[in-house]
Amino acid sequence: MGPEEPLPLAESEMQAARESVALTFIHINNSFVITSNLDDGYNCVAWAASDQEKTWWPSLDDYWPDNVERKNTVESFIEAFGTTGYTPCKSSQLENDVDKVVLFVKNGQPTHMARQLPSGRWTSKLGPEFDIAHASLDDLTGKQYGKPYLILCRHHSENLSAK
Amino acid sequence: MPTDCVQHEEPSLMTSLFWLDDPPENQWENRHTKDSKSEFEWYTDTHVIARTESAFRAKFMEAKEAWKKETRFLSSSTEIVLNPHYQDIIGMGKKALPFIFMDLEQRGGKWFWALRHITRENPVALADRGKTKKMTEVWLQWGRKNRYL
Repeated sequence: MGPEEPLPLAESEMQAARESVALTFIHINNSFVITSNLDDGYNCVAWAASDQEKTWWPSLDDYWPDNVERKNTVESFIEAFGTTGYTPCKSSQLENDVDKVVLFVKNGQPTHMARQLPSGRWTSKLGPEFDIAHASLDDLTGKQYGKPYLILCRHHSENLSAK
Repeated sequence: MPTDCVQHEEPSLMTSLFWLDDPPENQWENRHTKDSKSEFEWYTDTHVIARTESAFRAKFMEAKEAWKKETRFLSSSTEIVLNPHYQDIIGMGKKALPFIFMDLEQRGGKWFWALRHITRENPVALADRGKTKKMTEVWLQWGRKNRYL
């Protein structure tokens, strides 16, 4: 199953899941697609880093790259993604050979990350639940995650995926 | 139900949960042998314990359901564990441990913070932090070893 293909759920299950997403993220465009089963084995930050084996967060119970301060700050996230070759950049537009992830911030604190797909759409893991593919970053703007705050880019030649 | 069945019934796991703050050995024998209590006292005590147990269980379940509902789509581990219902569960102390372990075993979930704070232990190796399946396994082993499961 690809990151943009809908999960093969029964219609009623899919409808219930979509309704719960739409109720939480009130700005979400109806074109979003649920693309995975529930899985609390990884979270949005891990998913942004293409890691489905761990949860990433600067807390004592989660993975965080070695030598990066475990502090829930934008700086700590920049440093953590720096270990995999990402650096801050300006545009969230699709570019050839550039991976992009976006950090959402609420009340000054990181809350969520999304990763750009090759099509230009975005993929987000919603907490301990499922992944979705969505059209724009504004889709997830609101009470839960705040706003997209920082874009991080990585040229394909700089992929230093975390071990 | 015949009275005999009640009189000779062993304490259920759920009933014994409420004695976890005491030394676990011989509690049943000390408190509930027919020699030390009349059948009436024994029967009454058992029902009081069962009612207390039931109320505690309901309190735990209510807090757990509210926590899971309110944090369903949250990505921030910090926000998930700082949710007031999660903090309420931590406040329940060791009595909540059997319920936490049961939920961890059956449904998973971000119980590691609560377990660390309630037990003041952390059996998870530093290198395994974030590996949810491994952490769950390690904590369940700890729970079994310490007779919470």
